[in-house]
Amino acid sequence: MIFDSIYLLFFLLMTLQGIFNMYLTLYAWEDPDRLDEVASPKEFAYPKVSFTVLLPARHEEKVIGETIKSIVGANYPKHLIQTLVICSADDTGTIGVAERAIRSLDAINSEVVVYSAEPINKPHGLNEGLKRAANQVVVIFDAEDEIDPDIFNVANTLYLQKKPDVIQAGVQLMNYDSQWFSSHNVLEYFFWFKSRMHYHTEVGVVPLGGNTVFFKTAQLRAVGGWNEQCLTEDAEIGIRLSTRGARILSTYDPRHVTKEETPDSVAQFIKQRTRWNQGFLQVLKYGDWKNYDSRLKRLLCFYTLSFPVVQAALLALTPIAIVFGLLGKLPVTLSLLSYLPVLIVLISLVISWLAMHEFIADQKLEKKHSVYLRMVLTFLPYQVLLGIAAFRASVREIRGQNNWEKTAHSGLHRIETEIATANLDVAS
Amino acid sequence: MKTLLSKVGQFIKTRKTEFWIVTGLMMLAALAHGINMFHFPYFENDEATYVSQAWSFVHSGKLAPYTFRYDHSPVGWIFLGAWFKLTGGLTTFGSNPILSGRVFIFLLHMCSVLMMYIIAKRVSKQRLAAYIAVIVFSLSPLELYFGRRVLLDNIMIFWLLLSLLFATRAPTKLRSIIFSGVTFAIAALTKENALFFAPAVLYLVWVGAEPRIRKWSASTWLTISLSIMALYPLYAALRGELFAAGSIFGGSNLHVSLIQTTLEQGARGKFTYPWVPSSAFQSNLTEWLHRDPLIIIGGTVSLLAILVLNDRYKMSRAIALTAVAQLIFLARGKLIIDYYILAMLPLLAICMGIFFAKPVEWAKDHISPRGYALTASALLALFFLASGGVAFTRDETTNQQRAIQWVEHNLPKDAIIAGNNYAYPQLHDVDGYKNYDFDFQVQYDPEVLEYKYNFNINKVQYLLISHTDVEQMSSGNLPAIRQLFGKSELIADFRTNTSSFIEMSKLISTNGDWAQVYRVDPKNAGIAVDTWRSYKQNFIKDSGQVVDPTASQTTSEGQSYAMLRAIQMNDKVAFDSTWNWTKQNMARTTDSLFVWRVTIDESGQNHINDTNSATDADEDIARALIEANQKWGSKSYLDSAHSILNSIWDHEVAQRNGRLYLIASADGSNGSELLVNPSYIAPANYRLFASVDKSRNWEKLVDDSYTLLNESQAMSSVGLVSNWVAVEPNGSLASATKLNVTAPDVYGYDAFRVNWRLADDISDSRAKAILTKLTDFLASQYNANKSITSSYDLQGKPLTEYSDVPPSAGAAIGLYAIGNKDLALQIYNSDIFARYNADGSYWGKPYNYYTQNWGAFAVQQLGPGKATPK
Repeated sequence: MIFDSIYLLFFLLMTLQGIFNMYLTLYAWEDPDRLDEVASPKEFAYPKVSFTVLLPARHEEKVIGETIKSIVGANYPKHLIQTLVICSADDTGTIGVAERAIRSLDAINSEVVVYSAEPINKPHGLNEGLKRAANQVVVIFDAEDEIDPDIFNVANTLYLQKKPDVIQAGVQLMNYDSQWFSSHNVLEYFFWFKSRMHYHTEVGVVPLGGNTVFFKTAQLRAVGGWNEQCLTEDAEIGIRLSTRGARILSTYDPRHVTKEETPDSVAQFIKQRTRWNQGFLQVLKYGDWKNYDSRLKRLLCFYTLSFPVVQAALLALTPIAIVFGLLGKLPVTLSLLSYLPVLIVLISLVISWLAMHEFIADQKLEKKHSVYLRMVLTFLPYQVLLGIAAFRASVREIRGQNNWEKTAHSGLHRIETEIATANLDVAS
Repeated sequence: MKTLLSKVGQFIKTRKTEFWIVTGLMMLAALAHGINMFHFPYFENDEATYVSQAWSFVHSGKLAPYTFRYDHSPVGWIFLGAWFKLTGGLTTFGSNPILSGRVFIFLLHMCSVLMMYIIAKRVSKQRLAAYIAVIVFSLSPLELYFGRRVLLDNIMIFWLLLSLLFATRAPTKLRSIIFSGVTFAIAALTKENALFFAPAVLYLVWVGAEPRIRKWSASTWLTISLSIMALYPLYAALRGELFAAGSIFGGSNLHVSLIQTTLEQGARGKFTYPWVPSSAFQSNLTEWLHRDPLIIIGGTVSLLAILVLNDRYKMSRAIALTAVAQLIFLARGKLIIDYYILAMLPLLAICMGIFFAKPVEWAKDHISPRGYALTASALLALFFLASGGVAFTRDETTNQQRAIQWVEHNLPKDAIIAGNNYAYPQLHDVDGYKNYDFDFQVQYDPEVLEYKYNFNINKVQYLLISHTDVEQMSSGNLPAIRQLFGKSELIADFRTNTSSFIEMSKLISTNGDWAQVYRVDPKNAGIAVDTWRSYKQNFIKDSGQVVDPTASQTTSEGQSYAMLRAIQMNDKVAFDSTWNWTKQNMARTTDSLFVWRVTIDESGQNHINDTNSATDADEDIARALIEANQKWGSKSYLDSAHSILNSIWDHEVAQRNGRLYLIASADGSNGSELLVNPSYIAPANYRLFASVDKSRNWEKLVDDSYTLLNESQAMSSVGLVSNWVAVEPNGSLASATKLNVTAPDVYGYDAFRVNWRLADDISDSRAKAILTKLTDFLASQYNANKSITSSYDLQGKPLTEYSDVPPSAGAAIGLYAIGNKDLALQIYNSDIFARYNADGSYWGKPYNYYTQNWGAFAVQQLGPGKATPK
């Protein structure tokens, strides 16, 4: 009887979790009006808002030049953009490439900010940049980002029309076919920035992303900038700002997303995901989320931050529970329950197919039909990867290991896009 | 909830006219459906099935009171069960639980009407179309006939309309589509023919959705509904009942199977093209047209017209396509049931609404307001009266209900009743008649047949028959029930004001507004006829030789029994053949008696090894001949009887010390001790002999026989008689042990026949006294052990542990004769009739000739006209 009750509770919890997760995944498509809200403005307002781009970079010699070039080449008045490439003093390679790029592009209002104090990490770098920021709005890009030329127009228009404090613009992984796990990784970004983020901004509980985020400089300074001890300083600042009532807006438009790449190996993926998960646990520990003004917000925040670990644990337990269910001679109705999470997984898979189809069409990428089959085959292994990362994060957090495991970038997304563009050129 | 209420409030404020018209139409729908709904139409089999299944789910957690066969998925009656639970049980709305079910259907119908209004308005974007649709639907005679019944189709329509309601919501939201998928799955899990709607509803979802979320809508709709529907096969799989027993995955244990049942259901009915006049589609179409020409013709015309409309009307077209999908289902060429039309009705009504809104709108602009209102009201009133008619006035359920009440007042709670399903919920679930079963279940369900009836359908005591049973018996679907019916007598008849043409002898009934209760008479002429026919086939050769196959022999006893039974059955052909064979093959050369035995060798040749006679056979042959003479008039019978009587008197009746004794045989029984078999003594025979043979003192043999029987009975402490006794030279009675006979001091396979012999002479007080004493012991044994064993010693100790047809037949005949009819019938039912195989028309082991004869004699003695069992 007790076993039956636990079993029942476990699967009810799994099912509820699954349904809510699906709700977040489909949030944007739930209502066509929401798609309009999420989309970027159709017409851009006259450029008025001035931006300071913070471009923290560490050992990014290969890509930093291109990134600076794309900022300088943006469709926005140059005098309204300040670019700060932020490097630690020991990273002379990146400093050299960046300085050469600034010189060769004749980029006005651009400089390399070098810092040497500990800790050497992204939030520290950002804080250093923030000190030098001269414009109204601070925006963060990562060194490997391929930035849409109109992104400043999008932000300018939104700031003028909707008057938010923070804008999270879309970031999208592009290389859906480069690794066996890429398709799932790409879709995570797709759903997160196109749909789930929108729900979070609606409710007012927003763990922000790491780049293409626009802050009001003064507001950022007022809250003391980024937390330099946190592995996910982006999520942390989002929670901190939203608990204080900052109006955060999210926008996702396939034309204006910042393009990134998936990690280039399983090891890199696990490292990156471990950092995120551990960072979320840290944010949970800091306890800022307790300051939300409603129970719903606190619950949502707790759910979001603990989600990776909880989900991994639940997923790990599911096969065990199902085997138990089959062997344990449970009442048939109870056994039926164990099917519900499987059902939700199946529905999620179908949703993923649709999303992949839409993503490929949106980004005008080359269609590879095999990806749909691969998604099915790699679905479970991908969950295993997530589980490993969640487990690792928990262990590291318990042991107090807080060092930064950096992800390597090689600029794959750019190559792929170029190939895709080349193909399109040939086709046209 | 708040938003919904405020929306309704807003609606009432801003659209007063529409609100009042819709309220009026809802009242019209409520009146049309509600007036007389407890009395029309009659309670149909399926209604009771679903009610009992719903109750079984709530009450005992089982999906059906019998084995759940996966004939339909259970969601519909799970909801019905919830309704019973919610409303406080089965009888909240009347003594018959079907009434409560009808209230449930009424409420669903009201919701369906409202939903239909909204759907019609959404797809046509015209209120007028929706008004017309509601009127057509609410007043459709087909809807009033089938729509009031507790049918899965009616529950399914509710879910289907809810699914359409969600699917047509504008602007489309994904959550509406998901709800549409969920409710569609519930519709399909309620009644599987909803699946035929799937492509059309999916199309509706597609065309209704905003282009950017179109593929999301269609995919989630499909995935979610399929996933939920998959729960049903999964349930079956978890129970190990998905695959058929004997298939690769089905294992070898006998069990029900979802796949097997589905295939069987799908294969029901012979495939016939729908345009063939004899097809199920055509015959049903005729009925539908007869009941409701307006919606069938008007709806179809409207449907076709909508299909050719252009893209501006794509939502209307989608609804029309939904109706076409159902039409394809109906016309697919296999079995369809008349009420399958139900799912078409709301769709046809919407089509009619859309189609007729135009001319009505035109009329509004061209007729004066007063004229328009008058015409509309007059048409509505006419429509109401014309369509309703019998639905509002005819009482089709009172007869059925009175039959139930009759059973409640007249039959004991443990009565074994097979009957029409309609009475089951009240009698079984409410009143506690635990042995009331659907006749279909009695016929086919191994669970009922094996565990309840021990494979003996003849345990059924009563039949509660109505229209569907007659139809099913007539079409050959209930052969065993039909056989029971054939030997039943009508004991309660409820046909007052029935509209049905009923001719039970030909199994004709045209409507279900009547019911009858029959008592199954296990001993009636039907059995006598059946068993005589099978006995002749199995034991009597064409030559007239009666063969006992177990001993490969023919006995004079066997020949005499056959002759007695032939007379009873008025079968002169059989009588003559058996008599002739006996005369030609068993006649002794020295007198007019018969050798007692002829053996048959392996090549089939007869041999006489023992020329001795058996007195009982000789006297029974003589009796049979005298009766044949009385019956058929031939003098030769009587002449033969006279010769035999002479020889019996000369060789088988002994005189000693002034008393007459009927000895066991002509040779060897007349030594210093006389060998007497008390069961040969037949006073009734001697009275008959006396009537044709005045030359001998047969009356004295009667008196002396009673004296001997009294003396024999006195030898037993419990009033039994012996198989054999010896008469000492001094005239006293002694054990026959020394005379080398089988089981002399035993009441066994010979002695029980005393009951039969004396029952024939029961008007003699001596017979009655002996039988009373004898059967007192047998009755006490039966009351104590619910069984009479086949033999006892003279102190009353059972010598076997089993009962058998012949001795029990003796006991039943004896008890019946002295007037203890209840116990006689009880013994008959438990020890004799329970062993009757109706298919082969035999008792116990089919090759046991003695058992067959004694089963038949019991039926003869307790038979029609003689017995009125309770």
